Amino acid sequence: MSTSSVYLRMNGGGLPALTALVDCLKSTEGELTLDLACSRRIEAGTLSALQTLAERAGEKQVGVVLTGVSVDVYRVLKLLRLAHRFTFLA
Amino acid sequence: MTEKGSGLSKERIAYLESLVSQARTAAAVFSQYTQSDVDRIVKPMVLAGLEQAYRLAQLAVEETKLGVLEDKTIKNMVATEFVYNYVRDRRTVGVINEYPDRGMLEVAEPIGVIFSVTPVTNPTSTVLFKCIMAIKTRNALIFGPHPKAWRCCREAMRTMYGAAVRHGAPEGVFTCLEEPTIDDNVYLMHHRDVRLIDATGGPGAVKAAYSSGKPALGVGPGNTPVYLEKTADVEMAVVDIITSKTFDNGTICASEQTVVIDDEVYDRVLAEFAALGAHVCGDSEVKLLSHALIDPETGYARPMAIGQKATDIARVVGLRVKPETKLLIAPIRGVGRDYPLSVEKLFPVLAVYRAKSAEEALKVCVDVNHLGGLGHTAVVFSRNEEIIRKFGEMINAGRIIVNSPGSIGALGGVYNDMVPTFSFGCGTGGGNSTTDNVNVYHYLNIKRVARRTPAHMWFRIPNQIYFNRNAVENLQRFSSRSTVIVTNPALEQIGHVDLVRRWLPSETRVHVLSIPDAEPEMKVVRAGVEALKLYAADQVIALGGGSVIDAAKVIKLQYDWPDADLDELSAPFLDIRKRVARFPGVKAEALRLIAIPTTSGTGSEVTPFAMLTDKTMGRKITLADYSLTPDVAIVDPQFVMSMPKGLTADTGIDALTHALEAGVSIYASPYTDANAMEAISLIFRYLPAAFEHPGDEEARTMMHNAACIAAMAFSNASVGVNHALAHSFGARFGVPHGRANALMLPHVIAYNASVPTKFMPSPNQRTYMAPKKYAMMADLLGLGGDNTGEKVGNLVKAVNSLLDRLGLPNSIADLGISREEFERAIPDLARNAFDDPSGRSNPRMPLVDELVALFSSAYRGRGERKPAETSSHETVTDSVYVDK
Repeated sequence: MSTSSVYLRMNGGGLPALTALVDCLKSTEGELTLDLACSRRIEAGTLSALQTLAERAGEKQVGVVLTGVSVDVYRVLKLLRLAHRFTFLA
Repeated sequence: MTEKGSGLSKERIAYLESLVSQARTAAAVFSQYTQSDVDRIVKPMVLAGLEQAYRLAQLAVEETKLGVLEDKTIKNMVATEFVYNYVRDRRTVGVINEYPDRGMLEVAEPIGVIFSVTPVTNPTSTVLFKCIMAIKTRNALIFGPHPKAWRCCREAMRTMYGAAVRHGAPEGVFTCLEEPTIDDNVYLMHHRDVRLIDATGGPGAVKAAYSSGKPALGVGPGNTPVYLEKTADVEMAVVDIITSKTFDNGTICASEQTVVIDDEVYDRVLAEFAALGAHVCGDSEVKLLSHALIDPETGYARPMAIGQKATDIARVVGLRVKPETKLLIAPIRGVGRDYPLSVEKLFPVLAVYRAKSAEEALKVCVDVNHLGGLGHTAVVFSRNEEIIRKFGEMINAGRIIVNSPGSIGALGGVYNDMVPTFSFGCGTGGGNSTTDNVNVYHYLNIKRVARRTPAHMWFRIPNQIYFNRNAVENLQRFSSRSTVIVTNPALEQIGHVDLVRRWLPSETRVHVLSIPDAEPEMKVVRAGVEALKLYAADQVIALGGGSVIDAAKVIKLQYDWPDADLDELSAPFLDIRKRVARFPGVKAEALRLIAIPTTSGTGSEVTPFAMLTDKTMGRKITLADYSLTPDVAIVDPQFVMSMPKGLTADTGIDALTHALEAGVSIYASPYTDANAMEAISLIFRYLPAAFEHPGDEEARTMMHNAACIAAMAFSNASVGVNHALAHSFGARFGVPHGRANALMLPHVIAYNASVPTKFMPSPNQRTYMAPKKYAMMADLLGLGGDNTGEKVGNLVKAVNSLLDRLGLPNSIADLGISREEFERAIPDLARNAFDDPSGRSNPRMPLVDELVALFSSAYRGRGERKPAETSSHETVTDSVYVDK
């Protein structure tokens, strides 16, 4: 099993990295871990990329693990009914 | 209308879904914003709206062909500037209100996606207003504009959206349907991601909103009645009505529709209207207007007239009016379908009615109100406050505007202090959920964070208590013209009454009312009240045991307040501070009540309780109120030296029960604990001596004080289930109160010390305290034990030993009551015990089955337990709650 790890920054390179990861998924199997510890807030673009990532991962049966998710961000994922698509690690 | 928008094409559905999806994401992202983020966005939006007010008004007039450019411009400015003035400093994110003294916070929760229907009459102003509300509250809006106003609405939305997004609002926070249809509205109203529908529009839109099953704010049509009463400032009223009714050519649904004018000022009012540019129609002109403007089939105004100028309407109808005519006045003689112009007319035609009296005027206004205007708006012009209030009571309208223009007045913030709005809640009369001027708070879920607050507590006792030998001498302090001594024959015989007489001031006329030595009945109370009246008493001395003192309390209550209904006052209650029955309180010129106890047990001399026996029902009535507390207590051991041994034991155990129950009560406090603990200590030390050596003055004195001290505790902490059981059992089988208490006591301690089936709700207790309290009592008595369980066990043993030493019966069976008779009585006993208010302060909530089990245990007796199978009822568990 191969594991990828990506760190997102809300105002930095988080979104491109995530987009790249989505592309990367085409050839990746196993589990992806995204560290959102730097994200106190989540923007629409990031949410959209996360949603796409979750869809692609689902198709390929790859688990997506989110770590360092603040309760504020977690709540947004719940509001958008996205939370169930991820595994959360403290 | 297509059900749930099923007539929509796939493309249209995809379009609608994309709007919802954008809005949903925007709302979710928006939920993370702070108050300052939001406030930073709102201000530039408002400025953008103000800047575009004229242009947006132009677009609205061009597209809808309704209204007046200048007025629509003003409306756009009100919708931005006035609304901003209201919302700018209001908290709408996070904690929005704090009530530290109530331990309460209010926290704002955004709603999410709101679908907003907007009207043709006020299109751009409504959009501007709702955009500000949505941003201020972190919600996303999808606009469903009127099909004849969607372009100007879209432009108003774009104006606000551009400013909002430039200043940080999430993308997609506002969207607007293009070329909207009713099917679009239906689809969106039923969409699972639309959380609220805010429908400002015609009755169809509002009905659809409420029928969707979604939470909705629906604001529909009105039919504003105006009462122009004879005391009104006529000149001001006429100017106000013209200002309002011609504003934007009458398109605001709060504008005046029918003015009901008192006969005395009718002609003057019409002349004033005419002088200021109104055309007063004759009968034939009224007919013409009615036929042309009101659809006879529906009874509603024809759309073609809405928002048109008076002169244009006159031209179309065929009336000849002056070119400067701004309003058409149509006198009508009734309200309803036979008088077509009595309905809502969103154009400058105003019905007027001449009323012969205020009564008639109010009735006609009620008729107009009920003809499509329920819950909306009404106007009254009057200087008569009584008329204004009566109008307010009679008319069902969310906004009752006084001495001001209806339309502008209802919008709020200009002529009055109402909240500025472009959505008028019409309450249930209009099929709406609110009568408010819809505002930011309707776009929020307001959450209450309620902290635990300790209940108010008290410690109330008579303000004068005299105790120890010769305390009776203090009677000379109390001047009285006429004193009635309530006592019983035995006490009179043994000289107690003489002792009291000796210390009353010489000028006092003294009368003795001797009552039976038993719990008082109503006939005793009535006789007592008659005696007080006969002797014009200003003071009552209750000399006796609990029964006599209780009788005196009730006699005083009925004497001071003859209308007090004892049945109502004894009604069951859960919390004495919140109960239904209200005691009349203490009269300024109330009778003074001095209590001199002749037993050491009930403590009635300091308590707010009185018991009556209801022989017909076979139950006791408990009255509880601090107004029953005697004014003075004299606790003099001279009056108890001759108490028989049996009475000493019964009353002594009653006092012990008071202290034990007050100690574990849910209302126990450090104040009551101090008294309860001291009383327990004194009783264990002195009760055996007082019983075994009746002449032991020290023992008698200490027991007399102990009973009073225990009563101070339970007067404020109340008692518990032991008393509830004893009241029920004593009344049914005629067993003295103290003895009944004794039969229950060890069983109740074990019961309260075990893990409750149900806890009694109590904000004053942090944990289940009863076992710890019993353990503290055991420690106080030096009973030993290594843990709570052992200590409670030792306390039960000590109580059993004391009861044995006092020769009290071991069990109910020992009283000679057969098992069959007792078991037959048990259901009633348990029910009456459950209803007894004493149980409400017990630390664990007594369940009826548990009361049955307690009675069964008491039947079997203390000490050696007999096997449970000897009874059809379960034995109460005695597994003691063990603290860690």
